[in-house]
Amino acid sequence: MPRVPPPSRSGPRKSNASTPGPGDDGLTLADKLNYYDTPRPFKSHTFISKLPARTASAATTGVKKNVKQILVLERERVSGGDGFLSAAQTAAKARGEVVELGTKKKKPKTELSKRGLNLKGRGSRISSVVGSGAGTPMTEDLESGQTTPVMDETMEEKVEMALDNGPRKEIITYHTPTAPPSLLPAKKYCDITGLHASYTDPRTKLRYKGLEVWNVVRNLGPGVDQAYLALRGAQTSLK
Amino acid sequence: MDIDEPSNGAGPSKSRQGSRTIYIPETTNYQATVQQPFDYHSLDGTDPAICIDNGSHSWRAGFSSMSTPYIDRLNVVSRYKERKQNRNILLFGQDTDADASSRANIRSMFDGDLLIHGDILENALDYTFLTLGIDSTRIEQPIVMTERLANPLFTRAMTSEMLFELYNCPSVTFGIDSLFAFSQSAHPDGLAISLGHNATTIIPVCNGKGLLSRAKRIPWGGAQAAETLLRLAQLKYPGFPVKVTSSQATFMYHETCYFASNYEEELRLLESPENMAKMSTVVQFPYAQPDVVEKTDAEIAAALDRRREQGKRLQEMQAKQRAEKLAAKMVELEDYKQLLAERPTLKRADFVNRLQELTPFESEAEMESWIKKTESDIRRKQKKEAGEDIEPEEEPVFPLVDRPDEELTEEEVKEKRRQKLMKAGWETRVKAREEKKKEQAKKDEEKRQEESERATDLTGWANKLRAEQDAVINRIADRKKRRAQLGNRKSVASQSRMKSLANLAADDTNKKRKKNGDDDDGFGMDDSDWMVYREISGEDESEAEEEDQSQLQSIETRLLQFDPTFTEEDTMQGQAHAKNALVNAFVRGGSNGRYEPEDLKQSHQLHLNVERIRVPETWFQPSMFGVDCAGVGENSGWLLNGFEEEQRKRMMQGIFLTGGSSVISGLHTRLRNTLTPLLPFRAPLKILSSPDKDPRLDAWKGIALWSRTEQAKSARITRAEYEEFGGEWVKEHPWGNAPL
Repeated sequence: MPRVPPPSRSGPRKSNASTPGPGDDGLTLADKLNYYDTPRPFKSHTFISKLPARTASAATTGVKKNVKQILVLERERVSGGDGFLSAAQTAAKARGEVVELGTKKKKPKTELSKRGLNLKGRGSRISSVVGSGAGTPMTEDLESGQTTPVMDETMEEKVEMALDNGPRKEIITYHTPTAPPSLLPAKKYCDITGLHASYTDPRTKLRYKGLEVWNVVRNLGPGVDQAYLALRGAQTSLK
Repeated sequence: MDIDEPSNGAGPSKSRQGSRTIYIPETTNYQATVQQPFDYHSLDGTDPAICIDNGSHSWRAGFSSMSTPYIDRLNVVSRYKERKQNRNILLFGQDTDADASSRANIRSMFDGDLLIHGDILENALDYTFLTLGIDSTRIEQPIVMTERLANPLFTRAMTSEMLFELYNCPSVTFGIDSLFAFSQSAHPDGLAISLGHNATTIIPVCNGKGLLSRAKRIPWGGAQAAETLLRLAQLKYPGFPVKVTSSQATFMYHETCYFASNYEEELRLLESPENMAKMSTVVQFPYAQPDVVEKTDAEIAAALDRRREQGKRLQEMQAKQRAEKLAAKMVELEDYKQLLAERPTLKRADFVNRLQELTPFESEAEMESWIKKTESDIRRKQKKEAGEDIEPEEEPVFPLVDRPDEELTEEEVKEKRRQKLMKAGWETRVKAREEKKKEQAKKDEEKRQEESERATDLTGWANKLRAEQDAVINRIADRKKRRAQLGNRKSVASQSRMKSLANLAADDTNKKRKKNGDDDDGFGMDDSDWMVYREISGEDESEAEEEDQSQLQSIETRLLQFDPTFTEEDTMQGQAHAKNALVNAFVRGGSNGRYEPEDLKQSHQLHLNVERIRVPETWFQPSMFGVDCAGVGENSGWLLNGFEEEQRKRMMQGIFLTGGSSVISGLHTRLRNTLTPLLPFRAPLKILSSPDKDPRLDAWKGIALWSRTEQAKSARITRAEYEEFGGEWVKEHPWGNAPL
């Protein structure tokens, strides 16, 4: 395409923050590296994300989700709530059926058995299962190949049976692997220097190494003490 | 896998002791070239998988038939509209560094550890498939991609929807980065520890299979470490002249930090200022040295000449101007004189009219006095031009002063009054001059006396001066202390001030005294009594402070000059320096000698010492920086101890470290030191890391290797399965997340 040559500069600019001037061929570096206009034959042109349709709650209909929303969706799904619909539910919704959410309404058992769903410990039982996995490391059921749709009361009974009788499967959500707090007492380090701290300044609550560092603590500017405390998450937060 | 910035292999090897300097690169000298697309058709007939390691720091992608990923870039995208030519620009990876506007638009698909921005993922995938040279109408190869440990469903659904619906991939497999890295090590049992960019994960592996139910994640990674280092540096150097960017912080983190093999012990060593100074590393930021061109003597002489010439020219010009002014004045004078000469020929009223018309004067007298003044002025100036000295001021005569008023006319009485005033002024000036002379003489005398004293009794003289110095220092310290105390309402200084205020306000006592006839309470006999007013006013004592400072300086310079036992260390600054040795070593430990704030080089330095071990230590004590989790060592210990003895023994032979921060030196020793006390006595422990010393590529290589196995083929999610079970569903395989 015809390109208007940009006005030439008299000399090279010295600042490295500036946009580099166009090269001999009239292209800037960004132009050369740009791949916005490169044809992509492998891409479908009719793609529309179906994800918004899969989130049931009205509050989260947008495609873009932040971390918190994503984690809430997952929690609701796991606890049988109306967060992120499963594939079966989505299909049902597409057929125009009313998707029953939560643990109240039953679905015809026949449908479930027809689809060959093998129920594993899930639903409202999950909270007790999650996190207790440490004792049973190898209980994963390999024959389970599917996710479960809605939970209902009959299922729950089955779940309990499954829990009692056979191997059960653990539900791992994003929060499951979060490391527990340390059992060792937290050591106290000087907030300023990082050395061992023997004292705490009663006014600023900063820990300090000794007299010499205390002089520094006492001469800190306004707000700096809080900045130091914020490093270890001990700042005063106004709510 | 989450990998940090590649460690700069070209850099000098990290030394723990001995201060050294690392230099922040002057500019981002990224030599960007367009990455040529891969010759896709060279693979015709084979069936490789496309392997993508999507880490929150780097994106690595390539065909499984390659030995290293074809694409290895920072996982950031810059997308914006260029305003000048109204074009859309889309850049990926290091290319985002191309210019200022591309840098300003850098975005990542991750928020912390989680992939949330689908549009950016799409841009990255576009770049990948384009650069891999794919020109078919759909992606024909299976895709193997990494995801987080316990990836949330929505994220996975988003990714697989994109791969299946947008790119028409035949099949997709997801797995966990650190497990893929572990799979390379060919150990059936072990721990996969990944020190990633946004999180650290520890996953036990049993019988060739990741055990996700026991996996642990610590929300601390290389990104957090670099940021913490940056914040520490900012707090340590609040007035740093340049803004430290986060990429510079990452550079600093990789270049200076190391794991202390025994943190407590090392900290204790650092309590001595010498050790602190020894381990300091100076980070030198680029600075623009003001151009100081070394001039040759000839050049200097020439410049001097030029300056002299210029001065001369200026003088000439001024002289010319003066002459012109003088001439103008003379002309004016002549005019007025002429007017005056015409006077007798005119009537009085006419004359006054003309006077007011032609001159700025109102009356004849005014003009006459002006003429007189100007004449003398001109005379003086002409004399000066001619180079004659102005005669020194001689004592003026005041003839009228001594004559009694009766003899004088009214005019003369007025004149006498004027002369009297002038005489008084004259006398004062003379007196002041004499006083000055006297003072000078006194000073000279004192100086001479001091010199003789110094000559005869040096030690006595020095002792006297030292005592004086101590007194001044004490005064300064007291003043400082008092100022600090006055800030607090309850301090002794504040309270005594309030007391004196109250005393002065309640003047009944004075009245009583007056009645008794004794109205002198002796106030003011001692000079320090007046301090009470200074005390209650609470104003700043900058004047006194300044005086003390100058006095101190004079004492110290004299002592430094003449007393051989008095050195720089004995000056107030020197004493303060010695008193604050630890803090000084902490802040300026890397440089030899005194800190010069004026020196640009020194003011552009960060000195890192405790931070070098403090930042990596967070992996072992996350609570140090407010992360309420057990550290890597403790978690690993718990995990290992949770298994049966046989199993544990096997696992202890395969502690595998990966992730970008695992290149930070000292990690192996540190982990061993932490684990040994937690594990059974004398149990053999084997800590492994990347076979080819590049943990950044561990995960990708693991994928490439694994994707060729039968196991991998059976773990592929086909399009039909995707449509039936939804994008969040995964098939179970040893290195992947468990299906929900």
